[in-house]
Amino acid sequence: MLGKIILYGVVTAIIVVVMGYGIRLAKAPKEAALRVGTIAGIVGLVLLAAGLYGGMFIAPTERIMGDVYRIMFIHFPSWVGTAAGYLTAFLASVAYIKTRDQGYDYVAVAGAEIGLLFNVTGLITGALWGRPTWGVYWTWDPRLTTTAIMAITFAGYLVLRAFIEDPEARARTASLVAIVGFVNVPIVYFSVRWWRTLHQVQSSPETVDPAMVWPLRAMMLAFLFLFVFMLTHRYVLARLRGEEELDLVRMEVAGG
Amino acid sequence: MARSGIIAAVVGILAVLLVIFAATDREMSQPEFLIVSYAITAVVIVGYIVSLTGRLLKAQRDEEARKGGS
Repeated sequence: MLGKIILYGVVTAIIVVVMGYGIRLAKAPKEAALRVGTIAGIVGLVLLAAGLYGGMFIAPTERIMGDVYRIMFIHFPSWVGTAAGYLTAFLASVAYIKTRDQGYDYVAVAGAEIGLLFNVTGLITGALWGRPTWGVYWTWDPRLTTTAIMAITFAGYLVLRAFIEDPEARARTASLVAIVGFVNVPIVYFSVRWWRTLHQVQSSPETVDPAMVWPLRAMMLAFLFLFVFMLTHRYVLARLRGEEELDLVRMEVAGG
Repeated sequence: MARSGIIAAVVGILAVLLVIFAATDREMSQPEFLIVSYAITAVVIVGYIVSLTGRLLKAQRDEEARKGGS
């Protein structure tokens, strides 16, 4: 019981730190953001090496699925990255609507883009895991369907941004789309409990071999640190392009 | 290519090689699904990082040029 409380406490603390950092990025100087991102990237690579080694060489073969279950070591962390990305986009969009600070819009687009990236890897690895275990690459199971809708929603968010020229109108409209789109995230999580169909419910660490648990946790953390690396770099890119856009507007106004 | 992009590409290739080695050396069952999953994930993530760091490098150069020109 105490172990479980500590585990959930640590997981919650990590999520709070990552999300808190993501939102604080909007106020961070570019150089400092990139420095933190680089450190996160290095930590992520170390964890990735440990998790990959543990997942391939230490974790035992699963009794029913055989070795194909090892796809889990990238499939589940992909969803951790997806959730982190979309949650960042959601929180930053709420902050933008509240403050109208353009910095939050830069964080939101970074979170949405990286969330979509992990959403895609989650769907692909899920399909490749589904074929040998379920017999099909794809089925209209509620979990699979809701994750596909989630990917389409945030792909639409990014496409929409490309069509709106005015930075303020773009940020405002995109924020509303991100907030509405995020409603689907908890539905995805609970879909396996609400509609018991093909996709299994979340496993408990207590029901699997400990040698499978630690590589999975290492990979989850690795993906989370890689997420921070990508988030900071994408945020700085958005900020630089945003500043360039504002400079052009100022020059046009000055030129009459 | 930016330095971070090069590191990501090297790590991605090493990760896929590790999976191929583990799958064949340990005679894992259905290794093709395992290898393809890791390879596609590596290509998607590394491709994104290479593109992102490249775009960032270009944006930083553009900023320097803008500041130098103003």
